[in-house]
Amino acid sequence: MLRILHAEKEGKAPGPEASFLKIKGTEMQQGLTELLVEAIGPYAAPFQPEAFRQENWNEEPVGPDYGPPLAPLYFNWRKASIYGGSNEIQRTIIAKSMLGL
Amino acid sequence: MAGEAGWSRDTWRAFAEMGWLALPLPEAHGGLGGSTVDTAILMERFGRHLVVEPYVATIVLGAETVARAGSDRQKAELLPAVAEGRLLLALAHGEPTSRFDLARVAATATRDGAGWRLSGHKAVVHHAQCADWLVVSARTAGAGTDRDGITLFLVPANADGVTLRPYPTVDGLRAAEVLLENVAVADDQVLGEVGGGLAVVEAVVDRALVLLSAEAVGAMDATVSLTAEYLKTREQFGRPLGSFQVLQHRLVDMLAAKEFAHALCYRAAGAMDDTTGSERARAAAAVKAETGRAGKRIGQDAIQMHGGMGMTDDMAVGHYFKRLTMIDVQFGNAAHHLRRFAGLS
Repeated sequence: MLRILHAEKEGKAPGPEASFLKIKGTEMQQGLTELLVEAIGPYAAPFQPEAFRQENWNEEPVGPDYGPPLAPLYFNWRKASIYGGSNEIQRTIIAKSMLGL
Repeated sequence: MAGEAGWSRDTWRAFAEMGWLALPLPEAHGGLGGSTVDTAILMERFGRHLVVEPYVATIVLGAETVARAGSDRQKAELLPAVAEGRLLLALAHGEPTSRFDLARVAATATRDGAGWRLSGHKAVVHHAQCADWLVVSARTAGAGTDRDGITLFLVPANADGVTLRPYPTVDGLRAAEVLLENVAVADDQVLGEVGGGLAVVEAVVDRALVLLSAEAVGAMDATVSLTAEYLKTREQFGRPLGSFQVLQHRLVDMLAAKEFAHALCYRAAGAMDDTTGSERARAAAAVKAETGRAGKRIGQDAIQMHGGMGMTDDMAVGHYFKRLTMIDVQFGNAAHHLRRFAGLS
């Protein structure tokens, strides 16, 4: 990551290393959201979008107050390995440019 | 699937007419006396079609508890009506801090003349909002996670002191928090032995783990089929996605995970009716752990292979992914049951 930031500071276009970072970064994001659902257990189930979408919603949520966004976060972050060039595309870039395949 | 209730009474009546509600219930009380394997076959089909009716709540959990622990009179009063589709049940056992520990019951039942008074908070009770009767666990003795002292009660859902806080779940089912405040219960509403409820709940939940796993297998099967179909039709870079070997292999791994879960599921279903204690528990824990892992892998990979389309509500694959995720959460996720299996070995 530091190598990529350095290259950017030098005014160079990001190289294929950025593809590694995209894969690793999105896997970490997804792993974390997966862990959040595991951690909260049964209270992952209640669907309470108003509890985290509406700023002035001041009812008590069902379950712990940090609970309502967790399952939606997990589902939503599946997008991270798809957008910006899917992680399969990133691997193809690395295979071509760094391994000459 | 329709309406505010989140499911359809017409569909439920059709289930009754097909004999699906009677299937696992005892023959002496209006049932067909089917095996766990019979019910697993049905649950697998439910999973394939994302059935939202309260089958698990009423039949797999509620009626099964009554069938195992009820007196002849209680069974005669409730089970034929359940089989005919006239009566709905729900099992109110889990609590806000019990997580997946079936022995952690804090709700209390104290003696009050010839009857009892129940107080407590039951968490994420599936389909409580449509239930006529709740099967409620409460402590008549002991504390914390003591195995002894948990008693089961039959409580009318409209009894004084019962308050429901209903909500949809992220996979489109319905559940509620059940709050009990000094609810008067007669002595003949005790289900089974006073203080001996935990063994009943454990047996019911072990069997439910297998049947939920069967539902998951059906959902996985549908997910793999949908993904294969998508890869065959969707073109990228001038050719069908399915012609890329990297995706073929990934789909093969998904299919393999489904097949292994399927095999383990029916092995465990076969074991449910003729094993007890740790042997039964091991079979149930193994299949729930395996289907939890397989469901996660298949669901995640299916979304990935559908690309951005898989993220939309318009594509069925996302609904299967959500259902698989929630089946993993119910009665203990893969990590919990792996640990449980290790402890039983």
